[in-house]
Parts: sequence; structure tokens; C-alpha cells
Amino acid sequence: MIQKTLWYESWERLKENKTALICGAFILLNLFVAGFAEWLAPYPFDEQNTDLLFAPPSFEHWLGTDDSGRDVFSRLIYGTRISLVLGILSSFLSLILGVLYGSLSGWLGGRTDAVMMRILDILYSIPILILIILVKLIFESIVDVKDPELRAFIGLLVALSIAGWMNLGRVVRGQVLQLKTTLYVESARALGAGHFEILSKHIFPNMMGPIIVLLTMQMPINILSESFISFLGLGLQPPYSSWGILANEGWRTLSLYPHLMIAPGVALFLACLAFNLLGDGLRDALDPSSHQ
Amino acid sequence: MKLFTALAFLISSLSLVFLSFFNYKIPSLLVWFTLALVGAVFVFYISHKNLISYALKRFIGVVALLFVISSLVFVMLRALPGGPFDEDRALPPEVEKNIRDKYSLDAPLYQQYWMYIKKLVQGDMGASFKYLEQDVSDILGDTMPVSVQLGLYALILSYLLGIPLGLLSAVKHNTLWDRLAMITAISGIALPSFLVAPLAILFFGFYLGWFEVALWEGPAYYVLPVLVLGTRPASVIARLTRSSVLEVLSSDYVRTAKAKGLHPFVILYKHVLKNSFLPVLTFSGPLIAGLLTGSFIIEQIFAIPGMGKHLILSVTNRDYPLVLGATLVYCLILVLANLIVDLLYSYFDPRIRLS
Repeated sequence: MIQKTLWYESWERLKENKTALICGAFILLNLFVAGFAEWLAPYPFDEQNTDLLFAPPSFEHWLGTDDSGRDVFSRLIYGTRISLVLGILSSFLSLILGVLYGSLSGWLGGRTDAVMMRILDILYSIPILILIILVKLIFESIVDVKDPELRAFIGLLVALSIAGWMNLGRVVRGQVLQLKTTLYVESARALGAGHFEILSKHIFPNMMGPIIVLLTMQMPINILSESFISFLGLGLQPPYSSWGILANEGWRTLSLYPHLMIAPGVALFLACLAFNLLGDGLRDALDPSSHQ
Repeated sequence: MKLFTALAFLISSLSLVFLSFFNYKIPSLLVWFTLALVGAVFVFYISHKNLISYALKRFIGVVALLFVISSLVFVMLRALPGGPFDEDRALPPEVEKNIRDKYSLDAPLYQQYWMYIKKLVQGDMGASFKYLEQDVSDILGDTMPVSVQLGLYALILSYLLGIPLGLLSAVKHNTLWDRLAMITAISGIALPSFLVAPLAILFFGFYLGWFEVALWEGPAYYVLPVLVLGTRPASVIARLTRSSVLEVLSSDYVRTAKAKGLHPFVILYKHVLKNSFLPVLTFSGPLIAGLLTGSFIIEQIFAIPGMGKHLILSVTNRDYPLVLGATLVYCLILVLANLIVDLLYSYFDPRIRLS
């Protein structure tokens, strides 16, 4: 008999979930668009054409042009890159922070745990947008990089990671607290395994399922946060392009050219929907007993 | 009974603290604080001796939290580059020096911090740097009622939509209804407000002409922003309700109730609803605080004069007192909401004790 691993079984369950597969494919498509923006976009993101301001959608310009005559479709493609890179990268950073903090807190337990959780409570009590903006501005100013846009990018990345990290930390701590009391961890300890060995060999592998789901669910949140910040004009600045920046630009001429705002909104909506549905599918596949 | 006395006490004393932020000139914060505490402890000592320590603990916790938050935000604000009076057009040096002197911006940071805390304890959040001649408490006092109103409607809407939707899809698990409800809910979560809002404005405002699309002056103005603001929380609540109702539906006591031949509505009402409300309750604390303190984007799009604007613009304006004031108000509402949530926990699940 061939023994099927847990991962293989989960993959088989996921394969039966058509919605999740379609969403996964859509995300891959998005990533592809983001990765090959230079080849896919018909025009550079900052090429201005002052003869063609606010051109309506046409064969040359699929989504028309904006207030400086830049091709909106190309900007949408480049925007995919910045939105996705910021959202996904910051989710991974959030995850690293959350796993480190949460497992430390849960593993040490007792008073340390209580103090660490209080710190999380305190961070939770700062309005999330204020926290993001403050951290972004602070990091933007202390990072030693010449290019101001790159500085803003790094600031935003750190800010989004810090905003998303708390929830992950809390869940990981809960998992560690739960796994700590299992028999296999106890026997590992009885056999003389060290803290690091138990955490890395026995606890983390068993947390992977929930962590993957959390990570997938964190991505749309961070993508949305990035777009909100950019929509407020506090993220990267034009001519750079992200979905939030495009929405901000479109907002100014909403009643005349609604497609300028609706296009990035729809792109954002579809991407977030795909991440959420994929996350649901992953949860069903990795933990079939859950009812979520 | 105990619960409601505790609720009444904690809410009244915290709202006293809260109110004193807005008219600090007559009674100082400390006086209110002591009065409320002494009175409440007295009432409690007579009625419920065991709850005193709980209430005291919570109260001290709240004060400590506010202190830590204001210190943390103070430090973070001062770490920002730029200052409140960096305008595009540079002020004449003498003018700038006068302004800086007036707000003692050149004093050592710890002195400024000490002055701020000292005033804060008396209930004075200081004067705004951006809107000169206006106190932070006045600015927040003017804009907050609008945000609270908008948030409250959105909150009610999200419960009224979310819970029935979640219930429906749980009861009709794995049917078309379930799928439809969940696709609606997950779309609601993924929809950015800056997509829904313009679409709603274009369709209901311009095309159909049913509702007003800007300002905040009557029911016709309320509909669109409340709908847009309520979409996301309603969707989250629907999903939370669905999963917890499904869990409760598969429990032994529901099976027993079914076996007894109870009517499905009775089962839902008596056995399921109350027991499946806990996850929604947990989500409610931060939700209430977030909704009541206003959403900048929605206020921007619908031109609503709420306080969400100050929460964001004050940071970019480096209006230190206003950032701190807005953060503290958010914190207080959050703490109050979490308190109510904790007390309601023990109502919905009597096994949970206050401690």
C-alpha cells in the first residue's frame, strides 16, 4: 500500500474544489502580469501623450488615457506589480514576525506570555490607519536610500507588515499553546529534545496548515490596506502606479470618466476575491473537519 | 442583575471620563474620576462584593492603557520628520519662533511630554496646531457626533444583514442558498469601499436619483454612506455566524432538541442563536470602535464632516495634539466596547466568569 502523506491528501481535496483552483489560477495569472509587465503593457507607465487627454477607451488605448494622456491599461498592468508585490511581500514579513513572536510567547508561557500579549493589546488599540501611516513615515525617514520612491516603498512595506503581524502572532500563539500539551511534544521533551528542536521539528510542521491559510487570508487584507493608503495619497506617488494610486487619480474625475476609478477597483476586487476564496479552499483542504 | 449593575457602573464612570474630555473647563478629569470611583465602589460594596475587584482591575487597566498609548503615540509622532509649521511658503523666522515658543516646541522632549500628560490628566487635550485657535476637544466634539451617527447606523445594518444571512446559509448548508449567501458575503469582504462607493453614487445617486450623494443632512443623505460602510462588517458577521451556527447545529444538544420533535424555529431561537453568537461578539469590540470613529475614505467620498478625516490628516499635518486626541478617543471607545463585549460574554455563556 502506498502511504499518502497529509500534504498529498490535502492536495487531492483541493483539486476537487473547482472554485479554489480557478482562484489559484487567477492569482497565478495576476502574478504573471505583475512579473512581465514590461512585455505585456502596450505603453510605459509614465509615457505622457498631451494630445490625448482623457481619451475614451479605444483600440489603441483599451481603457483610455488619464489626465496626462498616460495609457490607463498599461498603468493598470504596472499597478498590479506594485500592489501585489507590496501585499504579498508584506504578508510574508508579517508571517515571520507573527510566527517568531507568537511561538515565543506561547512556548515560554506564564508571565512572559502575559506581558507579550498585553503588548499586542496595546498595539491593537492604536487605530490601524494611524499605525500604518506613522510607521511608514518613520521608516521612510530612517532608511538610508537615495531614491525617494524606493524609500516610500520600503516604508510602506514595513508599515503593512507591522499592521498585519499582530493577528498572526495571536493565532500562532494559540496554536503553540495547544500543541505544547500534545503527547508527542511531551515525549520529545522526555527524550531530551531541546526547545529549538521541539519547536522546529514538532510544533512548526503541525502548524503549517493553519499558517498557510492565515498567510493566504492576510494577503488580500494587506493588498487592500496598501490601496487605501495609496488612495489617500500617502503611498507611492504618481507616475508610479498601483491600484490605489489609480483609484485616487480616477476619483477626481469620477462623474465624467467613471471607468478610470472602476477599472482599478475591479482589479483589486477580483484579486482579493481570489485570495479569499483560495484561502477558504485551502482551509477546507488542510482541515476537513472545519466548518468555516 | 449583577451583570447590569456592573455594566451600568462601568459605562457610566467611563463615559464620565470620556465626557470630561469635551468640557474640561469646569470639572477636571481627576475630580470626575475620583467621584465616579468612590461612588461606584460604595454602591458595589453594598450590593456585590465580589465584583469590586473586577471593576477596579478593569478601571486601572483602562487608565494604564490610555497612558501607555498616549506615550507611545507621542514618541512615534516626534520621531516623524518634519514639523507642524512646515508650510509650502516658509513663515518669517520671527513668526515661526513665536509659534514654536507658544507651543514650547523647542523645549526638551521630556518636558513637552510631561506638560502634555499633566494637561491630559486634567482633561485638557490642548489646542490644535493646524486649526489655530481651536481646541482638540472642540474639533473632536464637533465632528464626532456625525461619525458616531454614521457608524451606529452601519453597525445596526451590519448585524441586521449579517446575522440572518449567516443563519440562512448555515441552515440551508450546502444548498444553492448557502452558496449564494456565501458568495455575497465573500464579495462584500473583498470589495474595496472606493469601488462600491462610486458605483453606488453613479447608480443610485446620478442614474436613479434616489439618494443624495454628498453631505450629511438628513435620511436621504444617510442611505448610501451607511450601505457602503456596512457592507464589509455585514459580510464578516455573516461568515462568522455561518461557521459558528454550523458548529452548534452539529452539537449533541441540538440533536436532542431535534429528537424531541421541537419546531426548527424553536431550536434556532432557543438553542442555536444564543450559543453561536460568541464569535460575532468577539468581533464586535474592534468593529464598534472602528465604525464609530469614522472612516476617512467614506467621509472623503461622500463629503461627510466626520472625525475620520482628523484621524488621518492630523498625522500628515503633524498636528500632534489632534493625533493624540483622536487616538485617545478611539482607544476609549475601543475599551468601552470591549468592556461591554466582556460583560455580554458572561450573559451569552454563563460558564465564562468575569475575572
